[in-house]
Amino acid sequence: MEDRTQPTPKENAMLTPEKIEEWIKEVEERPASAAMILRFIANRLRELSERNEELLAENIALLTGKRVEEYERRITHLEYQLELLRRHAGGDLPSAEELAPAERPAAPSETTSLLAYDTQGRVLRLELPPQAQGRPPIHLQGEFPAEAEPPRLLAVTSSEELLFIFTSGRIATLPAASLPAAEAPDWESAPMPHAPNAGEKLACLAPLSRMGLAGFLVQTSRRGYAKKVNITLAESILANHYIGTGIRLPADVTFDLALCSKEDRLALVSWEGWLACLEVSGLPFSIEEAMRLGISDHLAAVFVIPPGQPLIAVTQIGKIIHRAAEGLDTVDLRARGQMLFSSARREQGVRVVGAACASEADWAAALHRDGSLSLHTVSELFGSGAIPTQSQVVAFAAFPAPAGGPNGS
Amino acid sequence: MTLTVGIDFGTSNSGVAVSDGHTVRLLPIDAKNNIPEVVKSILYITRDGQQYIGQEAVELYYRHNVNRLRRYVQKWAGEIDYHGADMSYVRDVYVLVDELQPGRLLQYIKTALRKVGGESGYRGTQIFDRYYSVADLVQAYLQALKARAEALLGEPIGGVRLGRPVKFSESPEHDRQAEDILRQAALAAGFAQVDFEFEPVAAALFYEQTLTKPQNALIFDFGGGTLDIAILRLGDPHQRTVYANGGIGIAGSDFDRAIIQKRLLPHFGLGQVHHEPALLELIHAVPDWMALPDLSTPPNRANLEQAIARGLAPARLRTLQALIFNDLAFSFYNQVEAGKIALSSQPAAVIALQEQGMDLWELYTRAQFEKDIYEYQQQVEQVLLDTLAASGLEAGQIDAVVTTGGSSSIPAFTEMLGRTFGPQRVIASNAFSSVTAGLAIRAANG
Repeated sequence: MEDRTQPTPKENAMLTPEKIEEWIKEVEERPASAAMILRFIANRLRELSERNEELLAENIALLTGKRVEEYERRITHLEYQLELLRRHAGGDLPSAEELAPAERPAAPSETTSLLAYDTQGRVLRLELPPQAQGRPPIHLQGEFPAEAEPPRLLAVTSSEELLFIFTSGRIATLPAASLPAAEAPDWESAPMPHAPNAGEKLACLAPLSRMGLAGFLVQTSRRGYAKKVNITLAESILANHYIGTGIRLPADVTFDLALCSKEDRLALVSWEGWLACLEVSGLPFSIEEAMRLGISDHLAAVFVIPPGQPLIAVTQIGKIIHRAAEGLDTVDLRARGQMLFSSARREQGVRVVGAACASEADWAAALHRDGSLSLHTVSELFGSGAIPTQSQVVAFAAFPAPAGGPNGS
Repeated sequence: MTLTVGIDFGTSNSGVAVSDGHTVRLLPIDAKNNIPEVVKSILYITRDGQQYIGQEAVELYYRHNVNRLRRYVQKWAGEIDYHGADMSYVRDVYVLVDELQPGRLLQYIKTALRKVGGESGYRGTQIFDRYYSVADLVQAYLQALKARAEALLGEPIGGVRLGRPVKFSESPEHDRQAEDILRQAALAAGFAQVDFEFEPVAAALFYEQTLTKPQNALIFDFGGGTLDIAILRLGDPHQRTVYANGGIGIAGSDFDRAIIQKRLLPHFGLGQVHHEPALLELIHAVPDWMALPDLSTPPNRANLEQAIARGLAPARLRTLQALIFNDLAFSFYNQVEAGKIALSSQPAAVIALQEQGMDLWELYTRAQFEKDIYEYQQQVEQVLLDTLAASGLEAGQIDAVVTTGGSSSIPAFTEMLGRTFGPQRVIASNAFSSVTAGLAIRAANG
């Protein structure tokens, strides 16, 4: 039987026979109006005809399966992201092996890359080799002077979407796959996919692909201020290409943007060796001081703490500082947090250049002041307690082992 | 000697003029407007209390509001006493307030003066942390107008001759109350001397300057908020006689509302949505563009999303959603008004809004417009004939019918005047500035 609860498209049309009759009546009463009415209708017809062409093309893409293929590719990507999440979450979700063969996603042909980027907007993408251990360091052409802000590191998969956040609050997005892989890693000729405008700098890069699974965006500033933004606003933020400066102090700049869930905890690690673990649910929606920092201190790392994973921090001389998961106590807003090393060592000039939560199976990368980039497994770093360096470590990142590698899935 | 200006504080548009007794100077009070001598009667008050008028207010409203972020919080608004036969209880009332709202835009401030009378009359509105009475709103607008005029004239303004409709209200008490509020607002805005003149009389004074011999004139002042009619003996300043005054609260804004109600609501789902009170309430709110921003709440969004997901008039409700949640109400209303104005000079117009998810297109003819405002035409014709009868003159004794105000250009009314008095006697005066100019002449003559 025909369903009469919903009107048919014909009944829904905005162009009713009554309206057409009224137009005809106008023409009959005032024949001079015919030309104008005809012109209005013809213009509208042309517009609709153009739109019809677009819809026909879309229809063909649907019928031939092209659109379906596109959606399948996207589903595969999402399933891969889910697999990564499962690993982050510690196995609460069913693994790919546990899924019935028919449900199992096709193995993603993704690669993991390491991005090195600086405040001028230069981004180098380095494809990671299958082995980290024992591999000679990659040498980036060009040194990083002590007075300049060193580059930062970020590991991403090829399906990742990157968010460029500038100090002005402007944002831009870019698929990681669109960055060319640097065969001869020359820092001076690194691409600038989104060059900063006059008066602004690139504050940070943030991966976006997990956005759909997150509850909040947490924007932190170099001086320890933070605000969280409900994920429902992300669409509007991306559409407007603006997230805000995220600062309250004039000399401050955005430091990082993290995707978090309500139950997550966020770690803030400072240059002078302080660690504050904060509940995301307790973070403010307006920009407020999240971690009390000394006058000469600033943030060196911000990351979500995965349950059960230990923290690894690296000093400028390559020394590894390890904190077990159970030692990462949550503190209140505006607290100074716990010390990662003693006051005496701080006074001697020891500083933290990077930190992350990582499991032994993960990999780590360290960028040295002389331009060399060394790769390590986290288990190796836990074992040796240090990253060997000829100069100083300036940036550090830890990330899941690439797929296909010895520790990767 | 203190400088006195004439101010036409209109429902849709306002103007300021000054006269030295010989010539009238209309001040370019809004440089950003298409006609700089006319300023839109719009007031925008920001969260920090800054006040803007005219085109600047409109532009700022757009810059602040379109596609902005919103954050709704529930705030206690008051309590309601329930009284039954054998019980009574008090219930708290909460409203959703957008914490990030940057400002409030107010139009038709003058209309508020028509609604102040009586126990349940309109008193004012809460804007962020401050309550603004009707007098406060009018004062804010007049103060900004005065500041602009003083900047253009280069000297302080002491007095003002303000135009007022023939009737703010049918009740003499409410009419006096409205004039008192307008006077208090003008005094608070910094005018030391405040006098009034009927708007059609002011238009008559401007017209009188062109006369070489005395004649009977009917002034048909048809603007955005009211129709005002005056029948006078003009041409001899010493024997100027007002035979009769009349008016009715029908004008341009009512026609805009009629167009939306009769032609455009189906674009937002009317006729396709049934038995859904929450959605129907949203659809019926469309003609009131100032109320629309307040409807952009999370529960309304959820209602719309759920209905769209159910397949209930999805294209129409998506259009409604775009209108409410993208702050397009003001654009939409402007398009409607532009279509109406276009119909004064051409037989058909298109009312269209094609942005941010909306694809609204309506071909609108003059015959359709005349059909939609037919009841208003009947009422206007009745008021015209009543005023003529009250003057004691016959239609043939009226030498000239002077039309002024934006709505006086609508052909249906020009034809009606032509039918009654003869087309050759209908004279179109400056639609937007003749009242302002007449008030300046009145101010100069004391």
